[in-house]
Amino acid sequence: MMLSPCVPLDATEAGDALDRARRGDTSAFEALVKAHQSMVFSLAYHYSGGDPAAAEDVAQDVFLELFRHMDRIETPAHLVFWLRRVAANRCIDRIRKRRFEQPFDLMPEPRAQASTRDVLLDDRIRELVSELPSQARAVMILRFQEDLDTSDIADVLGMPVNTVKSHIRRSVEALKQKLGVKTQS
Amino acid sequence: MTDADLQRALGRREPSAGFAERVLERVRSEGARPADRRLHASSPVRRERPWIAAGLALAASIFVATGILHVEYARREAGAQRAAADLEVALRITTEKLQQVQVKVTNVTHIGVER
Repeated sequence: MMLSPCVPLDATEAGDALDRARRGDTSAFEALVKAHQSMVFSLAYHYSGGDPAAAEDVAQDVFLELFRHMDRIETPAHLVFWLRRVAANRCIDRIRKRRFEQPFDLMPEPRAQASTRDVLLDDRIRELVSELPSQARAVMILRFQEDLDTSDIADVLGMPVNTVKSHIRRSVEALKQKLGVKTQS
Repeated sequence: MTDADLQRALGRREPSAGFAERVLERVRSEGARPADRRLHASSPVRRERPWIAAGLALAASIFVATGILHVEYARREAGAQRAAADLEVALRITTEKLQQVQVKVTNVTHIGVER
């Protein structure tokens, strides 16, 4: 399957593309989509338990909403924050509406020099993360996909820092416990 | 399981080829419809909970009407108090005048009797 490569922008290019996109330049908007599509798609992909079709739907919805709200985006950093927040909220909303019903329709992805053990462990971890409660799942994905610290996650999800720390601690404990049980069986 | 395992398992992925083009296609077909802009411009309360907006408007109307009635009542009360004070002063003056007349009449009567 052909993938759409992310095209990152440097700080100057990002600021310029944002200015032009706010004035209605669709080619600049397209550059912003290509720069951030990997982040938004991956949030939805992991949240859906690895369903690429559902992730594509969510990611498209997020960028469509971005287009409608371009005038509210102030800086490139604000754009990243906005995309993370809207993507996470869209995923949580979809879970509430039970639209992610068939997790683990995992499509084969090319992996760079990954051992069989790593591949199996990765699949197992993704499976267990997709079984976490809605808020905890969002916290774990933002923590380990986006490498955000707890205060940034709290800002994106609008929850107290201590709640974020609690979600991470309890989720990691649960994952370790389940991995241990499953490995032994 | 380590943090590195989690980061590897939850690493970023790319969407299928042509993702940005598909987004732009949706933008062109539905992204900038005026109806959508109006929908997003309206407040979340008005859009999703119309009965809350109606309730707030009713409460505001009752509050304003109560305030107007209260101000009117206070204005009338002040007027009545001023009138009562004026009447009290008038009665006091009249009483003093009557007392002065009574004293004069008494004095005249005594003088007539002595003669």
